[in-house]
Amino acid sequence: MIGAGDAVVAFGKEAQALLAVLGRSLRMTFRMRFSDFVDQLGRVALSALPLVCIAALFAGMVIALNSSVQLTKYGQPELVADVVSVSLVTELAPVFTALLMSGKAGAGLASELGMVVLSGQAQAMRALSLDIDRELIAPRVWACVIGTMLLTIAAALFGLMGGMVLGSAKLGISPIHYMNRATFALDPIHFVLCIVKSIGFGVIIAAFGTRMGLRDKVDAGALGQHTMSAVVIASFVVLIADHVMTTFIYAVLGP
Amino acid sequence: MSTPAFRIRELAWRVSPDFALDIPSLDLPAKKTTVILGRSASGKSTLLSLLGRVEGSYFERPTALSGQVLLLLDGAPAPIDLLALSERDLLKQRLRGPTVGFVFQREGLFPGRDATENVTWPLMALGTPKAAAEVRARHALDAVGLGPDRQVATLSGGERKRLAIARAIALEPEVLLLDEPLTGLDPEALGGLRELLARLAAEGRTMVMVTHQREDVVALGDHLVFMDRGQVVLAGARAELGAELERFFAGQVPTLAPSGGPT
Repeated sequence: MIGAGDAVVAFGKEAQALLAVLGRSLRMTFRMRFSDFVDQLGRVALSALPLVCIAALFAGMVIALNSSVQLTKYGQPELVADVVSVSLVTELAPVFTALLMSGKAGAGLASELGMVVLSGQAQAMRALSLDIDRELIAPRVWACVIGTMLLTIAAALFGLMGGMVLGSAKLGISPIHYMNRATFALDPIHFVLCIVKSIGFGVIIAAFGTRMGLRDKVDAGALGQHTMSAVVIASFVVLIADHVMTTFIYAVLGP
Repeated sequence: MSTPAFRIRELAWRVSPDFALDIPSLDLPAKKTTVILGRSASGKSTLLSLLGRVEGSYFERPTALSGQVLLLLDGAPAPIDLLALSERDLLKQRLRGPTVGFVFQREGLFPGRDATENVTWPLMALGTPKAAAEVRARHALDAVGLGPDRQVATLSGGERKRLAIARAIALEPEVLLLDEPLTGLDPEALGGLRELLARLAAEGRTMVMVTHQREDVVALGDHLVFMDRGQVVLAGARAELGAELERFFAGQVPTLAPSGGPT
């Protein structure tokens, strides 16, 4: 049975390994090949763009629909644009994109790097003086972080469009009026929340995906287990970090 | 023995609860081919991984590892204490690859790249211009008899071995570590590759090889190390250990005495 002391030591080691992933990526920021980063960005972000945009469009529509039901009760259905834009930019777009990216980029990182370890490529790279930090880790981590941020911006835009479509079709709010209200409702702090949170979530997904991928593994069962752990733990941590970061940003910049 | 290339002192590594490597003293000669022999799971590949500093995992250095593995290179002012170097030190000094080459039992080929790219990637990462890297790759692939455009996914077991050898020799290492490099090859390829390894040895390269094949030992071995349960049972020049070698291939593997000390 694992004692509390062992659990603390194991937790400390994991935290150290996660920080090591981030430290190694930071150190290699200007030493990695830019083409590797662009290649990874295409694989992580561009390939997920249609999925994120369509999902965000429908999410925007459904929030608008649900909000309009409540707001109509209070006789103010035109406020739907305010509600949709603020909740999308500050909360739904970053969290929604992060959860999708955790399943796509996080699982992709863990399984791809896991195969590198399992098939002996990592050992061969070490034997050939190929820098794993520079060749594999940094381009993937940076692509995941930047990709999550860019996709979050795309998700917010498409979510706003979804709300606008529903507002126009169901509530009879003109698109121009809807967009005016939506942009008027947004303060700079909402954009800060959106960008900072998306970067934070990207870091979390990349760190867990990379760490789980590069963990020692003996067979395909361990590869599957580590990939699943990367997705589950990153999703869980994203939701907790969402609260922590929101609280922190409001505390620093004020509501 | 002539000057050693590797000098191992008080090497101890508890790899797992039921296996430990324990080598108080062992020298491996320079510019000669040492063959490490023993049963499966006797610690041959583990020892080889320490000589090439590719032991353990990328993130975590083994904790229960102690002792010295000194590498003595021609022209180097002092021996290099391999175990004292971190992953980053090893990368900075470019010891692995250009100085100490390694051919793995599981080849560790890069599947998204063709045969040429498997060879040029490390060369270019070490600063060789693309055109020069491609020329060196072509020579290395010619030497092992493999086409330059072959995709890794389409290679047979024997062809994978050939590509692994080509990738290592393209960096022209002074020391070559080979873990069962000629297992699973067809007779024609086997003869050619054995000749290639003999040629590399004749150029004055230090080679350390793990093998189970008598022909490899006869064709290449100058020095023999017999291992059992993580310890060295016997070590010496092949000329002095002819009888032990014959007994080994007759199925009488040199074994540690029950007390645990070498016999």
